[in-house]
Amino acid sequence: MNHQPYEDWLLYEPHHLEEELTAQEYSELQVHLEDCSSCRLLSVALREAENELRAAPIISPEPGFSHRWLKRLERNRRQAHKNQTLILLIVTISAAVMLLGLLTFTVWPWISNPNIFIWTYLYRLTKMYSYVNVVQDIAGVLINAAARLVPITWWIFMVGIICELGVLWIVFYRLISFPRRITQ
Amino acid sequence: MEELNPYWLIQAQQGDDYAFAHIVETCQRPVFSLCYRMLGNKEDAEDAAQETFLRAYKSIKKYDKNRSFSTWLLSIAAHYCIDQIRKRRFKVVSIEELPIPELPDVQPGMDLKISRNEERKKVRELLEHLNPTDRACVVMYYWHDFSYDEICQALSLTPSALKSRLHRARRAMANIWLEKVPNSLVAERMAP
Repeated sequence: MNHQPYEDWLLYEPHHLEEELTAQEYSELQVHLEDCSSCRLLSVALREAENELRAAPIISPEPGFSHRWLKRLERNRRQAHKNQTLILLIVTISAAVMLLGLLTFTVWPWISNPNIFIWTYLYRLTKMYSYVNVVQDIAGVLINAAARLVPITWWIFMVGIICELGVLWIVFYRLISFPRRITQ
Repeated sequence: MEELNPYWLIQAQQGDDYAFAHIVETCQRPVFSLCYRMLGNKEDAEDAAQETFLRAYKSIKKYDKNRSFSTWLLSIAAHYCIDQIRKRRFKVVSIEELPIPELPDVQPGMDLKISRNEERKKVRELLEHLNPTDRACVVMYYWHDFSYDEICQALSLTPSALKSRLHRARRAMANIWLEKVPNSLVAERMAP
């Protein structure tokens, strides 16, 4: 006996067989179920198992579920914050270690041979000192020339303007940076 | 599951924690129940339900308003439970090893508790041998009255895959029922 189509019908939509099957298929199935004990057994077992499932109620959680969830959300946020801080710390430390390594690598020849390092810097310092002297001389010549070219009244006028601008700057700075007193 | 007022969803999408807490309050029962049926015990179900809401909270901005919220939420729960069952298998812990509370003595009013306990045990036995995705299909179909379309959407299945999964699950459950039930009872039920 071929059980396949009947088993498929039974397992496809057991609760709505009459709607899903044509009238002919349905009566064919009923005739088969009367004759075939294996398919009848399947039909009964399936019906009972489905009844078992449908009878089982929807289960509720213990009271205070949403309160516990809010606590968990808070815990989760704190953990995420901690993780972020940890990642930032690791990145900063790694960057610092890398920079230190790079610096050591760059400076190592000088550290291993300090005489050359000291003489090089002494040479640079003396050179820098001679540059400063040259700049001072040039600036002195320029100021002397300007003093001769510009009349004294212009000098006084310019100094006066600079002083006024300075006073204005101090007044505005105080107005902006100090909070106003609110009087009622 | 009753559909939520869209006001709460919009508020939650704008980052209102109070609105999301309201959603948790409204949807906790179906989510917990699905997790319980999937995982088989209250402790794991509580954890899974809480995690489901946490995941929903994190991705609420991605939620498409054209979809049903309950389908979306139960889909998150089902996927999480499926993952948990798979992990549990890696840990080689059978669902049978999970504790079923024993009732010590029969006292007045305990009959109901015993029958409920028996009922839960029977349902658990029916579900425990199904593979996780088949179990999710059965739970959504029989307890949450989801349509085929909704289950397909929630579990990312094609209609033919869903039908074949339900077909397989029903056969497995029928076989389990036959194994568990005494022959005399089977004969009685088979009588015309």
